[in-house]
Amino acid sequence: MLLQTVKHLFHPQRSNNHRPKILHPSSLFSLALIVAGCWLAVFQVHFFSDKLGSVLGFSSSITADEVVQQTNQQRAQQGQSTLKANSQLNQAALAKAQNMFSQQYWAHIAPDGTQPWKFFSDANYKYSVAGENLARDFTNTPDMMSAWMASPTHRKNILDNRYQEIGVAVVDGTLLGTQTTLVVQLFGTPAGAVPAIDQSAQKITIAQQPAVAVQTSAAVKSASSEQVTANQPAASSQPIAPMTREEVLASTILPVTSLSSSIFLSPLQISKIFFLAVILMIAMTLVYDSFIMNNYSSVRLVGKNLAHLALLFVTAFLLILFKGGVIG
Amino acid sequence: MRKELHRHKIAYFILFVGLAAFVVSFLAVWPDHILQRLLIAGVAVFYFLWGIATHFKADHISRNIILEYAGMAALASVLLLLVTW
Repeated sequence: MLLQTVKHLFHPQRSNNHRPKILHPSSLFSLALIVAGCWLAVFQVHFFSDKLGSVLGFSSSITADEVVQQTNQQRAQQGQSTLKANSQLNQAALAKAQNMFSQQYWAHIAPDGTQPWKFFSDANYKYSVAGENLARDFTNTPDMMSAWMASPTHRKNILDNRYQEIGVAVVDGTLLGTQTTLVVQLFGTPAGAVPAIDQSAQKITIAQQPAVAVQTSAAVKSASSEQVTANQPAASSQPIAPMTREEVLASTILPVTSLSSSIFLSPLQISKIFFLAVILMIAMTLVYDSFIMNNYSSVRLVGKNLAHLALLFVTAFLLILFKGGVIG
Repeated sequence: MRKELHRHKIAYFILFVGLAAFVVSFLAVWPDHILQRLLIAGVAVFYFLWGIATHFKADHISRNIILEYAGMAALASVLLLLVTW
């Protein structure tokens, strides 16, 4: 009985109209539904495992030190000065990451309207120029850096010669139901220091993706213009008053992700393995079907196995090469 | 398979070029997942139309074949779409 079912599924014979049942349109659609169902299940298990004690989760090897080092590498390659790590910027970055987790959002501006620059002033970092890059769901630093460098706005932030200091926070947590690693990269130049640019160019900017701000100060006063994209709230052009609140942020800077050690496979890796197994099964059936029907020299009115194989090959290739991660 | 390739040289050339263009652009637009999803939808439609056109030209078309290409395109696009989520 089991053997008959297997043969019906994978071997061309009379019962399946001389085409393996797994290659019939109804089976292909069913398989697509099953795959989607399993994918949902993996993410549900992943979601609940966070509450029941982590079995599956997001595994990241990103460290703050690496982010700083690779940022400086990119800058050095472009002939820019290296950035100095600043503990206040680290605190601000950590506060921003914690704020995203606590308020469950993924953006430069919080749902309650909190601007990224508030975290600078909360950490008592007075700047003349500041910027922010965000990333999540990346498994390693090089991939994340490549993604930032591939985005013109993030790249511009990384290579901006106005910045002198950097702060990075790498924080694990659950964001919008998914366990992830958030990376907040903040750039700044202290208010006293003179940024290496023409001051007339300064403006408060919330770019499409990374945020950049230039704070007006008594020393460098300009008619601060605003450049705001259509779907972003306007950035404040007011100078930020000195702040003294810093008690919460000083406790834990997380330079290294702490969850990775207990996690074997990320949902992305599990999905990839499962999807590749499905592709392999269909591809092998197609090859087998071609071989059998070639030997029998029968004529059937079916789709082209070679074309199906080409499509599956491309799908498998991209699945293997696919890199996760989102930047903001 | 070699015979099949020879018999439909132009059709397979178009298919391979289309798929190669898809691979290159899919990798090029990373990390923009929205663009990647649009490309996936595009290649699914391309593959479906390619299948119908090729079989139509050879006068070997049937409802089952149309559904088979739709099913294969749906399966491939679901696999790729889910991984970009």
